[in-house]
Amino acid sequence: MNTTSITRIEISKFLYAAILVAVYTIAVLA
Amino acid sequence: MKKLIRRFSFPVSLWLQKDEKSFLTFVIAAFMLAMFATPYPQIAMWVGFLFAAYAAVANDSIQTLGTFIASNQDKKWWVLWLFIGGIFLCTVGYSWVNYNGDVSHGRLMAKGFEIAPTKFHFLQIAAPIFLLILTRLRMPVSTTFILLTSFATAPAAIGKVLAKSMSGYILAFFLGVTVFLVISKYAKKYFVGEAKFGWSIAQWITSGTLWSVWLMQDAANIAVYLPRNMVFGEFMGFAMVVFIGLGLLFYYKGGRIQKIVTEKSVITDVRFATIVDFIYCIILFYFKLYSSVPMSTTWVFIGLLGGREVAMAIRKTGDHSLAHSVKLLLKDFSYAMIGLFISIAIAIGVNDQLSLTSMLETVPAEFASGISKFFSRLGL
Repeated sequence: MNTTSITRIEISKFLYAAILVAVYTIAVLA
Repeated sequence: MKKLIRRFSFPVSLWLQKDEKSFLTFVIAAFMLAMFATPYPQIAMWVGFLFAAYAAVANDSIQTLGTFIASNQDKKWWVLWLFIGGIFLCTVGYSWVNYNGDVSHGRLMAKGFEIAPTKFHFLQIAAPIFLLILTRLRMPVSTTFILLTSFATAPAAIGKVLAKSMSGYILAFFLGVTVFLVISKYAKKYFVGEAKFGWSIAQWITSGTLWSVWLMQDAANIAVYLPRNMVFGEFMGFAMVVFIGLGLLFYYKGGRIQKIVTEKSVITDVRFATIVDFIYCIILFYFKLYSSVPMSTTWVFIGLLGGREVAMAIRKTGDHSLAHSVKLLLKDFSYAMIGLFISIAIAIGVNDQLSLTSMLETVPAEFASGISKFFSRLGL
C-alpha cells in the first residue's frame, strides 16, 4: 500500500495569473 | 500532467475548486466572445458594455449594496429590486434627460473622455474580464482606472482621474478616522444587541442615497463603451440590461454575496453600515460637485474603511491592535497600487494615444497639480 501523503495544490490562482499574462501579451504583440 | 509531476517530484495533486471551474469556463468564454466581437464596433460596443455592466453589478455594486442586501435577507427579493432598480432608473433617466443623452451625469463630458470610441481594441472589450479576474485574486482594483484609462484620449485625463481618486482616498481616510474617533467609544457602549427599527429606515434612506450618488460617479464606467448622446432605443437597452442584472443580483442573493460582503466590507452590523454608508455618500457627493472628472469610488471606500480601522484601534474598540490596523491599511493600499499599475499597463497596451514616456511626463505633473488644487480648495 502506498502510504506517501499527497500534497494538494489549488491551482486556480496560478491559472488566472497565467491567463492574464498570456492574454495581455498576445493582445499587445498582435 | 499529474503523472508527469509525480514522476519528477514529490507526490502532488493539482486541483481546482468546483466554483473556480465554472468561473474559469466563464472567463474563457468571455475572452472568446470579446475576440470575435472586436472587429465589429457596433457589436463590440454592446459586448464591452455587457461585460462592464456585469462587472459593475456583480462586483462593484457590492461596495454600496452589499450591506444593504445582507441586512435585508428577510425581505422579499423583488421589493429590494424595485427599490434599488427604481433608484437606478431615476438616476440615469434624470441624467439622460438633463445631460443631453448622457447617462453619466457629465462624467464622460470631461476632457479626454468626451468622444465615444468608433473602433475598439481587443483589450478594451476584455478589460472588464481582467477586472473580474483581478477581483477574484483579491485585489481591490478600481473599475474606473481599468476601464476609463483604456479609453482616455490624452494622458492628462488619466493624471486628473488619478489625482481626484487619491484626494478621495485621503479625504475618506481622515473623515473615517475623525468620525470613528468620536463615536467608537459611544458606539461600543450603545451598539449592542438587536438594532431598533429606526436604524432599518435610516439604512434604507442612506443606502438609497448612496446608491444614487455612486451611480452618478460609476455609470461612466459602463457607459464609456456606448455613444455619448444616446438615442431613446440605446438608452432603453442600457437601462434595461442593468435593471435586469440588478434583479438577478437580488434574486440570487445569499451565499456568494454574503461572502463578498464579509471579505470586502467587514461590516455586518446595520448601525455601523449606516454610518459608513452615510460618510461614503457625503464624500462622493462632495466630489460630484467638485469637478466633472471621473474618480475611483473603490479608493474612497478603501480609504474610509482604513480610517475606521485605525480609529477603532486607537480607541481600542476594534479587534486589531494599531500596528495590525496600519499593516492592513498598507496591505490594502499596496494592492490598490498593484491594481493601478496593471490598469496603466493595459491602458498603454490598448491606447495608441498613450506611450510610456508620455505617461511618465504628463501623468505625474497632472497628478501633482490636481492634488495641490484639492488641498488649496480645502484651505490647507
